[in-house]
Amino acid sequence: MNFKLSPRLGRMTLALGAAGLLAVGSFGSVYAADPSTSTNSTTAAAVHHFCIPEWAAVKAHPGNADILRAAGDCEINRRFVTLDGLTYLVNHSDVLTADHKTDLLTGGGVNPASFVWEHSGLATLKASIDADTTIASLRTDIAKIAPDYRVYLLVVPKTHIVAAADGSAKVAAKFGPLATELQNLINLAKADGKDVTAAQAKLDDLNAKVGQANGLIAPVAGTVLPLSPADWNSGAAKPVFQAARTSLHQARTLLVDARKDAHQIIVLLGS
Amino acid sequence: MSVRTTLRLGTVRLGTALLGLTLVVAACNGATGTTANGGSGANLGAGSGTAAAGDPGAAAPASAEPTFDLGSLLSPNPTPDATPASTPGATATPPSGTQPTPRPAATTPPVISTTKASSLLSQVDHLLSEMDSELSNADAAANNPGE
Repeated sequence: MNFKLSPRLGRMTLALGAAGLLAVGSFGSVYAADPSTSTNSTTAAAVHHFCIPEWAAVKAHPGNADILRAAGDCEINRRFVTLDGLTYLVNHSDVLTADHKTDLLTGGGVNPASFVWEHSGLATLKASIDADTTIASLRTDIAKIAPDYRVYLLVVPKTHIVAAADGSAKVAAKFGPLATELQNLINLAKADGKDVTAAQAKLDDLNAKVGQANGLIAPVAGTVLPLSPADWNSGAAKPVFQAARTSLHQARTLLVDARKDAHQIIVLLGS
Repeated sequence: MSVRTTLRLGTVRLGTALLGLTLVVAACNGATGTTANGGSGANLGAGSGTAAAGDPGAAAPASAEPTFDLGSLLSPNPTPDATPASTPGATATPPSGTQPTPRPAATTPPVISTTKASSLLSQVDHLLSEMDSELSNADAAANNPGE
């Protein structure tokens, strides 16, 4: 049978094929540019799940090394998925400073539990688990997954607290130009003969509240970033996290009140 | 002292220099357009073409010479029209800028616009919502039952 393609149809096919390749290439480049989709995520679909079926199988077959190894691999893989998600969030964050992005991703000399460090250590541990041949060695290695890395109790909250601190700092910084503008308006109103006593008092209160908020926000990242899995295991990290979140909530309250001051000043001057 | 002078100016630079000199003399005499001896005003600029620059005694007919308002020339901001033309034969026009420059009207009281402040406040609102989101994530992470 002869299959002859007309020249016109051939050109159309070629064009469609080229367009398709371009589309695939563009998706691929976006995928490749995102370090969160690194090939270290060894699960086929890179979807997080809690490994409940794997542990159920271990319980059903306690002496089976392959089943125990599968549970260990599942635990490591779900941590890879979590770290990849955090990496994506940090890379695309609008609130994190560049320095803190570096600190969270690679350590920056201050963070002993960076994503890179965690990923690397877990990959090494996974290789050891895959090479284990006895139930005893498997149990020893699998028991290291949680305490040696503390992905969920240390890395995840640390990331969000640092992001919240940077976000709070951004809010506080925005009050700078706002306060300047409000002071200009108050000065204009005063020059125009208006009574600006109430507005000036509100602005003074705003500035004081923003100053207090800054005092609460400033030390948060510096106290949280150096925490390590060992700090969690010793009980040192948890109160630091708690204090950091309390400070940020107090700062938020102050900033919300400062925002109310600003609104009232605008109302006073606009009336 | 008479400053009535008729000169044939060959260059703009010479004309400008003489103009300046004449202005100084006129100012010293306290005259604006009138010489101390009651003669005609100082006539500068293009002459008839017959008098040499170094011959102040040769006076050209007054009717052929352009006249200038020294008052405007002495003003702090003389208008371009008040500058005498140096090109022979050119006719200088009377300065149009003899009227003093009107002062700007008194400024109106400033209008207080809160537009910029309101815009900054909305930016604060946006950042506060971002902060709330991050704080919620931090709270959720703290309550994570994982290990």
